[in-house]
Amino acid sequence: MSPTGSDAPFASQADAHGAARPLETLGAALLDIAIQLGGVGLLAARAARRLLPPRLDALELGRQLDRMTSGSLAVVVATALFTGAIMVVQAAPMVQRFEARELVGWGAGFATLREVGPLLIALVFNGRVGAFVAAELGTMTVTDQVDALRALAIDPLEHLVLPRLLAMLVAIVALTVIGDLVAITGAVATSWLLLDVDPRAFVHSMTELLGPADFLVGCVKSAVFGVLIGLCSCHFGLTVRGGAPGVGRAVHSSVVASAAGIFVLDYVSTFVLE
Amino acid sequence: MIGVVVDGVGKSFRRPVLRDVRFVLRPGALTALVGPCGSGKSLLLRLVAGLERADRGRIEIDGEPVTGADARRLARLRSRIGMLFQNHALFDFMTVGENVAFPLRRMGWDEPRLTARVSERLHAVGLAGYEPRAVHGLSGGQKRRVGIARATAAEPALLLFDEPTAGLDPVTGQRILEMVRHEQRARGATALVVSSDVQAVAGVADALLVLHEGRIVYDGPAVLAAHSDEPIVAELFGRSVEARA
Ligand SMILES: Nc1ncnc2c1ncn2[C@@H]1O[C@H](COP(=O)(O)OP(=O)(O)OP(=O)(O)O)[C@@H](O)[C@H]1O
Ligand SMILES: [Mg+2]
Repeated sequence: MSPTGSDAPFASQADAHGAARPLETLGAALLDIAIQLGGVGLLAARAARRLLPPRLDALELGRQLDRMTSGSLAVVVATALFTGAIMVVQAAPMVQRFEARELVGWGAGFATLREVGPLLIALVFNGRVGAFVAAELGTMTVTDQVDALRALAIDPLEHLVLPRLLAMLVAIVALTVIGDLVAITGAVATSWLLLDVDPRAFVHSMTELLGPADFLVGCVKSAVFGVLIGLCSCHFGLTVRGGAPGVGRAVHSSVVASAAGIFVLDYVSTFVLE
Repeated sequence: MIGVVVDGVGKSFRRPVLRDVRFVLRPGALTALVGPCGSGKSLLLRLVAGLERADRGRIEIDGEPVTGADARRLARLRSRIGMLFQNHALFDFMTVGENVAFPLRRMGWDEPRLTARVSERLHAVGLAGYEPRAVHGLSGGQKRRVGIARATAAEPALLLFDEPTAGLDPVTGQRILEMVRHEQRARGATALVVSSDVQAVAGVADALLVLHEGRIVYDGPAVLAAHSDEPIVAELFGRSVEARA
């Protein structure tokens, strides 16, 4: 497979004379985004074609899965714990003012499961795993390792892309479930300490007013984010040009593109999954 | 034994690099490809391996077209090719041994046979016992030799070697070239070897190709190349044009 895409993904060279010709800059930037979107779409189609029937390196899948989950667990737990706590701290004045203690569990649970959990974990995952994959594949590309695979009659999509995509999908959903649990734990503890909400009352309010749908919506969202991060990091990694500086640019582009995509998809999916 | 036909191949990036390249690799022969820096030697090897698509022209390996071949046919052709990249392109997430074993594992070799072959290959390039070493701890010359071991592991019928002696001292370079020669003879493989060390590679090659400004300007026996009238060939062999006159 021959890499597609322009030499300067996203961060366009046009920046230099951007101030002088704003329209031209805008046009170049839009064109660049379209080219990269096309590249990501093409990669998605190619990867999908290799799923029927599944043609991928199972050993590599296991390796990647292990690396992605174990490597991100600590940072996910820390982030989620504090986020759960902060949500309650922020809501505390309102809760006290309106005497809404019995709604804290529902509020924190709803926000965590449907929105904050998937979104936050996706951003953390993007910065850690997405950046890593883009850098790894980028380095392999500029040092001819990807071509060496092709020269050994090995399809980089089967051997590199698909295992990473699937591992990212599974890892991000697993991490989101863990993150949800930890964030809610943080919220329970903070409500107890700060607002004197009994943990049993917290959980009761949560389970009473929330259903499996709220949990599933979050999982679907995070799966979508995982695929997006996977596609972006693989696309930018495999289309690197220009040695080590090119790898740096690819990592940057991948993280920025994924983050932008995550927010757009989050917005869209919040309506679709209503 | 397999032959290679390159016929009227052209390839441009921002500027034309290869204009009209044509030559035939004789089956079972070692052909050296030399030329000035940036003349497109590496590109030509990549085109033959189907890693890059030619703008025009035709490339055939053993009568099978590389140009325009679909993924499956390319994969089949490539399984008969052993390629050494200019910057060795070793898999840096694997050990030395795993690198050499990689092509064999993909071909389904059983473990004892594979282990024996890997150790035999590493011995042949003077790196016996290096199996458990990490790639990043090796010197440039050692990496190149591991690359050669990997490229020859699966006994390919066509060897495409890009600068096998770059970064090696003259003695080791000469030994590597002789080893490549020996390897290629022993298996009746066809080989195309790119090298900047013109004298040394011409010393072991059957035929010599000189690439200059997008064309093959010398195609003939390696032993006669040193006496060619073509100025660029003379220059590559270190004879100044004036000295001949
Ligand atoms: N993928 C590519 N994209 C853009 N330009 C390329 C690409 N591959 C090769 N080139 C250009 O083609 C020309 C020939 O490159 P190539 O690496 O084949 O030269 P070479 O003869 O191997 O040189 P050297 O002796 O330095 O290894 C160079 O000018 C290079 O910039
Ligand atoms: Mg070269």
